[in-house]
Amino acid sequence: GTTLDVSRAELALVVMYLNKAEARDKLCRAIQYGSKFLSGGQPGTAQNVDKSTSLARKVFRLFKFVNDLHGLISPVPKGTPLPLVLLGKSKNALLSTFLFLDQIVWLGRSGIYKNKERAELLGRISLFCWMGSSVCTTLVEVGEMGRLSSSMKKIEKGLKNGNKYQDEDYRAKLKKSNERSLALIKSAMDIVVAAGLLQLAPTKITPRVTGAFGFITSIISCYQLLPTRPKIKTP
Amino acid sequence: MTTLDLTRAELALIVLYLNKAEARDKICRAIQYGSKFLSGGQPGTAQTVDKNTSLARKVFRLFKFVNDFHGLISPVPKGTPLPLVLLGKSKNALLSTFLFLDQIVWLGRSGIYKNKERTELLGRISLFCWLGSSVCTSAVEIGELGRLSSSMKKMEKELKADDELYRAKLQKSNDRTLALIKSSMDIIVAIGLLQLAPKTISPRVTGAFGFTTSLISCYQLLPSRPKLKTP
Repeated sequence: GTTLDVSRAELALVVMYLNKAEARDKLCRAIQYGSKFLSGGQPGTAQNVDKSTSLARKVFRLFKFVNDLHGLISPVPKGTPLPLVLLGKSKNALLSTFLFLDQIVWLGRSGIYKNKERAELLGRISLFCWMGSSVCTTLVEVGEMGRLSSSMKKIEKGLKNGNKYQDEDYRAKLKKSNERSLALIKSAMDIVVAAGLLQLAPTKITPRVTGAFGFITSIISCYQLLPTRPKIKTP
Repeated sequence: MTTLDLTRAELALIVLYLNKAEARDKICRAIQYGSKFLSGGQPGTAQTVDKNTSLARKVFRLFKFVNDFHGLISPVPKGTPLPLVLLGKSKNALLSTFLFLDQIVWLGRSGIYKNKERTELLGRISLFCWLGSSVCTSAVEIGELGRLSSSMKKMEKELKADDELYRAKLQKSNDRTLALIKSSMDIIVAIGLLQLAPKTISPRVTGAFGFTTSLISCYQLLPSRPKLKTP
């Protein structure tokens, strides 16, 4: 193709990426926590951007709680151990509650819902739900990685002479395991972000620390949402 | 199928719909213009919601100008008459410029870009671009409707009105009529935002028209369900 064809194809990928509501939300989240980091909790432009982007994301996530409600009532893959199923479902329930309550917080911040105290309380409860969901996600990822590593060891033992990296099944599991490690890092960091927003340890987890962790987890989310490119096969 | 299966399937459709950035943007647009209508331009809760949602949509549309830029450099369907091609490309260029300038307006409103006067000026220019793009869209839709109706008349003469192709054209013609209604109403919204005729197009009128066009957009984004075949 010509240069124009190439840039058009690349632009089409960018367009496809940005058409996802989730990708746009995570980009805004990066802006939000990036400015929280820059502001360090002090008034000024950076804090204004942090607050207005936070409010903007709330209005954009109206009705998003149905996403996790759907996950909650959807069947799980066969063979998932019960503890992991329960943790996964708790995560869905907590995240759905967070997103539902966050709508009321938005109503409060924009002045439609007048009871400020109640709105603040619901805001705190919603953040605890989010923190709980991050804890559940972390545990699920740990559990799933354990399962993956034991099944990978089995494959290694089964292969007597062959190179394990030439085994399709092994490589697929290795890839999944890498993805789950990244998800684990993200959810563990998000626990710190939640603790920061709730000011549970204000001397250690300052707004700057919260901002830095939140910015990194947003970038990880943006990366996770990238389309998986079909890899070029090597002979 | 159990009731749970049905709910799950319905929820899946809603999830799919809400996962589109465009659908979320248009829902927010409905909130924005709905509260503009309620406020009637007077300070209060409704106006705060209008302004906040407007700002929220700006941050959510960062980099969206690439969408229309992509449309601008993409090839058009073969057989499109040159005037319609030019109008379509102008629309892309104007919309892309609007979305690009709107980013600077966001920078200004959130205090990152400090020059207030320049921000206001760029905001007005961006709205004129949007007005222009709505005019182009209206003209394109009228042109395309004319082409469709002439080819449908040809088919009627040839007694092909039962044809699949005829029905497809009829469907397209209905879609384009709706798009025409939307873009002509958006011209009024743009005039309202620019306060070009503040007496006739008051904030309440702007809000009402904007709310209607947002609902039309939400409807247009609904997934086209496969229709049940009639024997």
